[in-house]
Formats: sequence, C-alpha cells, structure tokens
Amino acid sequence: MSNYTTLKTNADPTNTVRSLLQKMLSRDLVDSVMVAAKTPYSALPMPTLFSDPAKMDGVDPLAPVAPFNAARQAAAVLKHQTGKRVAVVLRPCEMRALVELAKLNQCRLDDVVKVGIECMGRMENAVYLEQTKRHPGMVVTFDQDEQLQSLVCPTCRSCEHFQPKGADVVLCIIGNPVSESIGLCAETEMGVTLLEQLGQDCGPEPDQRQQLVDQLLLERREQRKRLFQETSLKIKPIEKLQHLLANCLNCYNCRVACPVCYCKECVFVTDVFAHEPEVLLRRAQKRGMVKLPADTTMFHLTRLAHMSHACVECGHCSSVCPSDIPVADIFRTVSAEVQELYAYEPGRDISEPIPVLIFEEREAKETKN
Amino acid sequence: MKTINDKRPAIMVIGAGISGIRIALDLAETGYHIYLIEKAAAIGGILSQLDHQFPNNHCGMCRLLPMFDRDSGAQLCLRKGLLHENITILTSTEVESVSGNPGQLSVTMIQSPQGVDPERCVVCGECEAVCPVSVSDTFNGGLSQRKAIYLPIPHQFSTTRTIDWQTCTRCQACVNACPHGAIDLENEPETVSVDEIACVVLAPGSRLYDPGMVDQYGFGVLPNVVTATTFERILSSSGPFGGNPIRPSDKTVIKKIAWIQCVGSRNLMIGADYCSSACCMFAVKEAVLAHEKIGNEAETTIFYMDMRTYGRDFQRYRDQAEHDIGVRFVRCRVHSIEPVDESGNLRLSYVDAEGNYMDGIFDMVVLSTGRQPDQKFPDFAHHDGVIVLDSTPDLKDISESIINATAVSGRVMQMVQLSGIEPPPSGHAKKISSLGEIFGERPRVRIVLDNTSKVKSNRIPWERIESDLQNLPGEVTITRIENVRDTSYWEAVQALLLEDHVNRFVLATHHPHACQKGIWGLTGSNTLFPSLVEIAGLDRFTNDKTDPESLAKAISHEIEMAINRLRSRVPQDKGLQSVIAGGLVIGGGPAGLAAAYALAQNDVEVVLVEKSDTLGGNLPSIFTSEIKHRVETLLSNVENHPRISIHKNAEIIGHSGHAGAYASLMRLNSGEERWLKHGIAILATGGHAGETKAYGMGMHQRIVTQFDLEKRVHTADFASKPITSVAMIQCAGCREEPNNYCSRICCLKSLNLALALKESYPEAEIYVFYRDMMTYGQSEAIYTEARKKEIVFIPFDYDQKPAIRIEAGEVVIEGHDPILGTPMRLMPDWVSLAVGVRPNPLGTLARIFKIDTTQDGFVKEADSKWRPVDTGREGIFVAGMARGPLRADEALREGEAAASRAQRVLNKKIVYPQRIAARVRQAICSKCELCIDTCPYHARYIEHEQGRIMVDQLACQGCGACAAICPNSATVLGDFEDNGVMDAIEAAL
Repeated sequence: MSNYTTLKTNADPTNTVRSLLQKMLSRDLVDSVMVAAKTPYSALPMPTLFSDPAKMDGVDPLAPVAPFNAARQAAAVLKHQTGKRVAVVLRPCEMRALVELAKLNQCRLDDVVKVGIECMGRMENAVYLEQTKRHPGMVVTFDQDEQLQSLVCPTCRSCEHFQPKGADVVLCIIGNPVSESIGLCAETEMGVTLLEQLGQDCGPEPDQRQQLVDQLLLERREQRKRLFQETSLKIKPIEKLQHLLANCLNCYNCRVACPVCYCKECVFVTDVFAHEPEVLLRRAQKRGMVKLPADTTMFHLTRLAHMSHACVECGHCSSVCPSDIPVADIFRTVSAEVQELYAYEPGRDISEPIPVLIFEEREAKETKN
Repeated sequence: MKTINDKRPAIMVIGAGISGIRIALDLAETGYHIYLIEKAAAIGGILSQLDHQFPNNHCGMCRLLPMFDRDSGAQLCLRKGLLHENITILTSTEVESVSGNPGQLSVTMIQSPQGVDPERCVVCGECEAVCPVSVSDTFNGGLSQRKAIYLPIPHQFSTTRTIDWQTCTRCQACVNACPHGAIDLENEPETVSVDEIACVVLAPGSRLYDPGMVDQYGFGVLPNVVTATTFERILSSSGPFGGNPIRPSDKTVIKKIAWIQCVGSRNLMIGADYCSSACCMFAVKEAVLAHEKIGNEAETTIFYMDMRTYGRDFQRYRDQAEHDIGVRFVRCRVHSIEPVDESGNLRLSYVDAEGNYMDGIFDMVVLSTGRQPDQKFPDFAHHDGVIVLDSTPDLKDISESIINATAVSGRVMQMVQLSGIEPPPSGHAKKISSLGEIFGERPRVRIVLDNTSKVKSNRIPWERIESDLQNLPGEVTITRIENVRDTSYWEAVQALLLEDHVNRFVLATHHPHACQKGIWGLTGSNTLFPSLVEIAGLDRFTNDKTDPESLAKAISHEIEMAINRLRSRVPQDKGLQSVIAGGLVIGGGPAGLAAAYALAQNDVEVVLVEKSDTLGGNLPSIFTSEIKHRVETLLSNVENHPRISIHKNAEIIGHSGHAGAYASLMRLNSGEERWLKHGIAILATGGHAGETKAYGMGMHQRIVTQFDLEKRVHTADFASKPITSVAMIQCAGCREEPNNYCSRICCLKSLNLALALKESYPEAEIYVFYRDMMTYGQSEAIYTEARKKEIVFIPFDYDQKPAIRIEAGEVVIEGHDPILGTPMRLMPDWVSLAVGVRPNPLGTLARIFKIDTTQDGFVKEADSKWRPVDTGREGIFVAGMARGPLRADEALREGEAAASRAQRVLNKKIVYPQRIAARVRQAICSKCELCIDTCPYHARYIEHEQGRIMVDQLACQGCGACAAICPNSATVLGDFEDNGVMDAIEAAL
C-alpha cells in the first residue's frame, strides 16, 4: 500500500511540520488548523487555532510537552457542524480522548482532518521549561538524548499508545532520526487524498519501522504491567486506597485536567454535595468525627465509576495534583481492569459503543459473587 | 341494609381475576370510581396460586398496573394486593340483582361475614395463633394445614384474616385473643346496595376441573398424584413445603415426574368437548421449572395427545424444553396409574405411538387438569347496562384474557361516555399549583410512631427510640398515637400536622400498606404534599430473638432513613404535556378496521393508511360465514364513518415525536407527502400465506395450498367430476426452522375444509396428516365432529414426515400408519398443504417507529402475557397478524383491545408528571444523550429548537435508569434525589 512518504527535515523537523500545516491552509485544504504552538511570552506550546499561515511561527507540536490534554480544546472547536473544515494536530492520548468525547456527543468528527503525532512522551511543564532553556533545539536533542528522554512523566514511560489511532495522517518519528527526516503516513482515504493534494508522492511504509514499534510496545507493556501490579497492592483493600488519598484536598484539579470528564458542571460542585449542617453534624455524631471537606474517597470512586471505561491514560491528573497523589497510577490500574472486562478500548473506534449502553444478559459473570 | 354512598360516578366490575383487575385498572385510570366485587375472600383468581409464567418463568403480573397515573395507586406486587385511590374492593361479596337504567344502575349485593373488622384488625395474627381448629388448606391443594381463622391468600398483605364458618367451633378463643376487638363471631350476611352505577361488567372467569369428581388416575387416593396447580404450589416458596421440590407422601425429593395432559378436558365421557387451551404450555413450564428447582437429577415426562403450542413463541419454548433442558414428550393416553409398593412410587401404563404396551415408574404424577368456563350467567347479566366479558365463554390463556378484558374496557368507556357521564377532573392540577414554597423551607419533621400495631411490638423500647430520634440535629417532633386504621386516627394525625406547622411527616408503622389509603386521605386534602410524607415500614422488625438494644437501634435507623429521604425533596415537575386527539392506524385488515372503528366511535379522528388498493386484508380467504359477515359489516362501517379518513395505496415513511404528540409522514400514491399529527398509532400490518417448497409444492397442479383449495371448493365450478379423496398435510414449512412457530389458523381451516368437502361429497375419503391438532378452546368440538364424520387423521413426527412423489402424472403420498404400524400409500385427487402464515414485511416501519421485532419478523409486544398489544414505545400499539398468527375473530378483538389501550392515552388530554418521574436540570446538562440511549421506555427525546433533552412524561416510568447513567445528576428522579438517597444510606449504616 502506497501511503507513506518521507520528508527531509534538514535538522529542523519543527519547521518541516510547520510548512506542511501552512501548506494545508494556503492551499485551502482546510479553513483552520488547531496545533500546539509557543506564544510570544512562553516556550510552553498551547493549543492554538490558526487561520492565517503567516502567523504560524510558534507552531511546535513535536516538543516533548503538553500543558494539558488538548482533546477538550479540539472538542470545543468541533462542538457542532459549522460549515468550516478544521485540521487538528493531536497526540495519541488526545486523539483517543477526542473520539470518546465524540461518542458522548461533545463534538462531531465528520468534517475534521485528524493529524496524529507519534509521541515519545511529555515532560511535566516545569521540567520542560527548565530543559528547553538548556536545549534550544529541544525536538532534535530529545530525539537523540536518552538522558532527556528519561525525564518524561512516569505515565508516558509505561504508555503503549504511542502511535495515534484513527488519525487521517500520522507524523511518524519512529525509525527516522528527526534531524534527518520525519515520515508522513496516510491512514484513511481522506488522508491519502490530503497527501495527494499536498503534492506528496507516497510509497510503502519502511519495513524496519514496524520492528521498532513492536519492540517498543513490548517494553512498554512490560512496564505497564509492572506498574499495575505495584499499584494494585497499594489500593486494595479500600483502607489502603483511603490511605493513598489521605492528602487529597478536594481541589478537583484532576477532574479539571481529565479530558474525558466531560460534564458541564461536576456533580461534586453542585448542591448534591453541598451538605446541610444537619447532615455533617449527624455524621460527626454517628462516627465521633468527620474530616472536612467530606466525600474525598467518594469523589474519586465516583469519578472512576464515570470515566474508567474511557480513561486514555494521559496522566494529566497526576501532573496537576498539588499533593503528589499518584492519581494516574490508581485510575489507570482500575481502568485497565474495567476496559478488559468489557473488551473495550477507548478511542479505538468511534463506532464502538460505550459499555454502559450495552446490556448483555450473561455479561460480567466475574462480578456476580 | 347498608347503602354505600359515593358521589363519584362509578363502574362496577364483578370478578377480580386478572380480567376483572385489568378492566378495573383501565377504568380507574380514566378517573372513574370502581367497585371491584369478588365472591372469594381475596382477589387474584386462579393466578394468585401461580408464581411463574413462561416464557421467562417469572410472574410479571405487576405489568398490569397503571403506566401514567402511577401516583393514584401503590406500585407494588399485584399478587400481594391491589391499592388504588379509585378502586374499592369488596371481597366475599356476590351481586344479587341489578336494577335501573344504564348510566344509573342500582346494585344489590350480599356480603358474607368475614368475622374480622378490617377497620380494626392490624393483621397481628394473635387470633390465628390461638385457634384450635386445624383443617387442610385448599390454597395449597390440601398439602398444608390452616386454622379456621386464616389468611385466604398467605402472600397478600391487603387482606385481613377471614373465618371459615364451616369449621369454626365458635370457641371464642380468637375473640378473646384479639387486642383490638376486631373479631365478631355473630356476623350475619349483609345486604349492601349501591346506586348511581354507570355500568356493570361481569367477568366471571373459569373454574378448575376437580379430578376427584370422577375416579380418574387415583387422584385423592394416591398422595403423589396431584393437580398441576398443586404442583405449582409445591414449587412455590410460599407453598406447603417452602418451595422444596418434595413429594407429599414421604417428603423425599422428587426426581421422576410425569405430567398427564387433558385431565378434565377433551374428554367426551365427562362432556368436556373442549380444550382448556393453557394446560400444555403450563405443563411444559412446570417441567422446565422442575428442572430448575431439582437440578440435574430431574427426569420429566409429559404424556400428551397433542402438544398445543399454538401461540406465537410457544413452539420454540417447547423445543427448548425438549432439546436443551431434557423434558421428554410422549404421545399417548395413559390408561392407569397404580402404586408400586408402600414407597409411594407410581407405575404408569400406556400404549406408545407404535402400539407397544409400556410402563414406567415415577415419583410423582401431575394431572394437567383443565378448566371449565362458568357457563351459566346470573339473571342480571341480561340487564341493560351490564356488559358480559365473554358472550360465548372460551378458555383463554393469560394474554388472550388480557386482550379480551382490554377490549371490554374500551366498550365500557364508550358506553359510559354515551350515557353522558364524565369522570371527575383529575385533582393533580390543584396539588401542583399550591403550597410549592414549603419544599424550600428548612425541614420541620413530625414523626408519628404507631406503637399499637402488632402485639409483639410491646417489646419495642419506644422511649429509647424516641430519645434517639430527639437527639437528631434539626427540628423533629415525635408523638405516639394508638390505633392506625379508623377515621378518628387520621383526623388526629391531620390535626397534629396542621397544629405544628410541620413541613415533613414520617409515619412509622408495622403495617405500612394498610396505612396507604389514610395517607392518600391526608395528601388528597392538601394537608401535605405526597412527596413530603414517608412511611417507615417496621413490619420486618418482629424477630423475637433480637435484643431490645439492637431492635431500638434498627428501628431508629429505619425512621432516620425516612427523615433523610424527606430532607431534600423538590416539588414535582410542573411541565405539562398535551395529547393530540388523533389516531393513526396502519393496515386495513380486520385488526386495523376494528381498531379504527373503535377509536372513531370514541370520538377520535382516525387516519387509516393502507398499503394496497383495497381494505379488508385477508377477507377474501375468510369463509366462515359469521366472521366474514362481521368483517364485511365492519368494513362498510369504517368506510362510511365521518371520523375515519382512509388512504389507500399509501405508506408511512417517516415518524417523529413522542407519546401523545407524534407526527408521521405519509406518502400517497400520487407521490405527495403529507405530515400527520396524531397522539397514538396502531400497527396492524397483517400477514399473508406462507410460501414453501415442502411436500412437492409446485410440482403438480393438484398439490395446492390450503388457502387455494379452500377458494376452489367455494367456487361453483370446482368439481367437474366427483372427488374421491383429498389429503391434507399440516405444518408444511411451519413449526420448524426457519419458521418455527405454529400459524394457529391452519388446523381449524383444514377441519372446516374437510367438513365442507364431506358435506358436498359424502363418499370422498379425506385424510389429514398432522403433527399436533391445534384445536384449542371450543374449536375442539369441530375436531370431534370431523372424527365422527370419518375423516381420517394420521399423526406424524417432525422426523417422519409423509413423502410425496409424482408417479405417472399422479400424486402419491407415502406415510406411516401408526395404528397398523405399516407404511401407507395414498393417491389422492388433491393434496392440500397447510402452509401457515408469515407477517407482512414491516419494511422501514420497525426502524422509524423504533419498535422491536421477533426473529420471524412479527412485532414484539411490551410483554407477551401482560401487555400484549402495547409495543415497547408508549403510544404505539400493535394488533392482529402483525403481532402473530391468529384467527380473524381474534384479530377483531385484538384491534379493539389496541384501540382501548390507545384510548387510555388519548383520554389524558393533558399529562401531569408523576411523583417518581425523571426530570432534567437543563442548566447542568451536558447533552451527552446517554439517557436517551439507556431509557428502556423510549421516554427521552431532543427538543430540536433549543437542543434540550426532554422527558416524555407519558412514557417515563420512573425506573431511574437515566438518573443512574447521568454522571452529574443533570437527570434526577423525583423523590429519589441524590442527597436524600445518600443521606438515607448514611442513616442506615
């Protein structure tokens, strides 16, 4: 299948990607492009919606950082049909979250060009800002420097979804030193057309890429498994979980950071959990004491109940926790079990129905007892 | 003489079996006051003894309960009792006479003394405990003992005990034991009269055959020979053995069970020339249940003459029982049962299909005893204004009884409307508009502790409970008041509530159900909103072993839960929905015509859409003159009805909206498309003759379908030369995959055809090859007649079908003669194949109406037994062959039943939300639509103008699936607000 092309980067892969996106705009293939870009004030690339190719200097999607999961921003742009065609450039975990949001009617993906990026992980924002001062050519250096690579978040180090799913076009960095070239792979009919329109001649995907992917996947799976085993020991029985969550401030940062927590207003900030004094006093009376704010474990368990099937393991919940609770480890561990139980993979396929909407008489036998 | 005086216009329903209950609930929902009269001591009829119904082997009777005005009744297990604001139940009562004019009838009844005053009795059971009499309990088939003062149906809560005057010795022990003076042994039958009855419905039901009347199969002598009903009691957890599958003689576990079919039915010797219709499936269900209860060791055998699996999904249920579960089916008549030895085991002797003498030893024998219709109607049945459920009594299964009763409800509504009596306006509007502000007030809770209740409650440390409750944060006042049932009690409670200016009320009582009507009295008088009242049921706290300390704690928790449930109540939704008073009927066959006509007669504007260019459906193939005439008359009535507009060659191609306010897009022959607005729709898309290649169909011009031969026989030039022989083969391409269902009409059709041929050509030999003769109900008599007329019936098994060959241009049938045990060979003039019926393809209708279909393409009803003409969507109904094969007369009835169900929606005009119903908090709704996908009642829709998610209040049943799936409680379920539920859980911990 001829769907792969290689772009020379001449030691500036970011420029290569920028030019490509600029071309999409200038050739009117899309009306707008949403892509991570530095602002004049900070090196931290933020999701930015471009309509003018001339303004795209800051475009920096390959930087090993993501201040937050951009699926929510993409969904905001794609909330309903506008008659405008938008391209979104997203990391795998962002792309998967976007698909989940589409299933939940938070956006529509019928007139969007999805450009995915192969992702070798992101650093925490502060780490990145620190490192990028030292390494101005961060994208190229990161690609070569194992020391730098080891600075990505723990979640990314055990991520098995480093390749995007469901993208029309994928920016491939595995198998090519980015200083020399990056790959461009069309994965849908729309993608193939797009590459033609961009004037790219395509050939087959290089063989050695798949080997590298398989090898990396194997390593990551191993690490992920180990992480889950360790975390499992820390969260069962529930007293251990409560211990792990003891420092939680009920700040709900994790919920705000979560790309698939889609509620307009979380139930935990509504009147449902704004307890009357009688209720709190009664709890105190009954148990002798009650920690305030109450409902901490309840909050995390409720969130798990709501989104564990859709958790894309982006790790942003841990990144934003002011108390250094390993939220992502807990949520990923539970979510992996839930997803396995329902043979469900978030973001795999937009036509795959959400497990809560399917009723099978004989399902979940394991939970019977 | 006592006279009941009630200002409300009333309807009387006599007979509280399932038919009577169906009619009473239908009419109560329209707002009429109903007297439900039952001569037995409790309601429920035969079904009160039966726990399980196929196909799912659950009960499901509760599906009879109202779907809209749920607040008017208790949403509780209907087998346990019926509580409805508009229904007054009079048990142990028989109607003597009816007088007066329709619309203003007077009814005189005789009420047998029950011995127990329901106003005073608190169902504590002290009387029963001291009663010295012990007699066998007929409710459990005599397998258990009961006292002379007893609960007629042990699992019903709404009835008090009653006295069996035959066995009561008047020893006064119960009178002395009763703590409330509720028992009077001197009661005389009382004459009760009631006036201003708009209409009387007689739903007499049927009786079970008593096999003890004739010496048959040792019933009454051999303890392990029981009736099917008794066996059902044995399997019941409320039965004589607590649900353990053990046999009466020695209480050992039953393993080998035999069922003998047609005991008391299909028996000319006892004058029972009818089929009881339900026993075959009853036996299969019992056998399946036996396997479920007994486990792997169960061995079940059903001895039968014909396995009458004539309902749409029955054949597959039977096949599953045979092949997946291991029920053995033996076609024979058992000639004797004798005891093997002292063990209680039984030897059955029979001759099998091959003519071999056989016997088998069983632990237990179940007689599938038939039923007898109550043939003799009382004199008042002929009084003007009295509607009889069945003019010609026939034995029906549950779904047919429900269909029939529903059709009758429609007729009653029409009759009452004609006499100009309007139901009283619904009180809900008033309730909603007033007193709204008190929900927002800080809770001031009044608790009333009912400390009389059961005698055992004397052990309860009430002071301790009171102090626990006083200690709760917030404003709580507690009172203990004695005696819960009489009017003075409720007046005292009302006075208390008004005096304290409380805004929440908890009644803690040992008999919550008995208090329901009193609570309705309070809420009905606007003393408090229903949502601000909770009953804390203490009925489960009777365990003597519990120490007072933990008992006090448990009861306090129960009451605290009730308080907490009340804390965060919000007023019910004010959103009203209006109903469009128009109906859409799709399909102009008998069912569609009957539905359209019944609706139009009730002042509904009807649009009848027919795909073809003629109305009448399969009318050309109806040859029974009486039915043909009925359909033809109906057809002309419909064509001439001012409220029915007929569109032939038209189709429905689009559909939207919600119950009460649907819109459908009709495409006319001209290509013109037109939107129709209607409150309800009835699908009566019909069926057609099956197509088959079985038995040489298409190979020879003398091999024809049953329909074809029937048509030819009824044409004048059919026989140029005398006919000498005709062979009919039943189930051609039916009752086997892929069409594994009985088409229900073919056996009777073949019999009628055979008799017609015999009439014209008395010398002709007529052979009917059949698998099971499906002459259910009274049509059995036609089968008997055919046998008398020497029509030859040859049974065959599925795997031993007759073969057809063409030899030298002649048709040859080779079969097996079961009597001689030899091959047989016939060369008939004609071969008629009973090809059965198939549903007309629904096309896109199923998709656009969002209704389910069966694997055979029939429309699937909401519940095959209890809601047979409803689909899964409120406001969309189904009738006739679209739902399953049936005779034309049955289709007419089903059409009428569908119209009656539809009328229920149309009568609403305006729909008020019920207490327990879903509501959307629009401000925080994320519009993810999970609730739309998850709602089992299709009660959710998007209002397109603002894109809001709405709840269809007609369809919503308050199940809470939406509230459970909504992550941020943007959907809330009335009276189950999150805070209340969480606080109640907190209290329970």
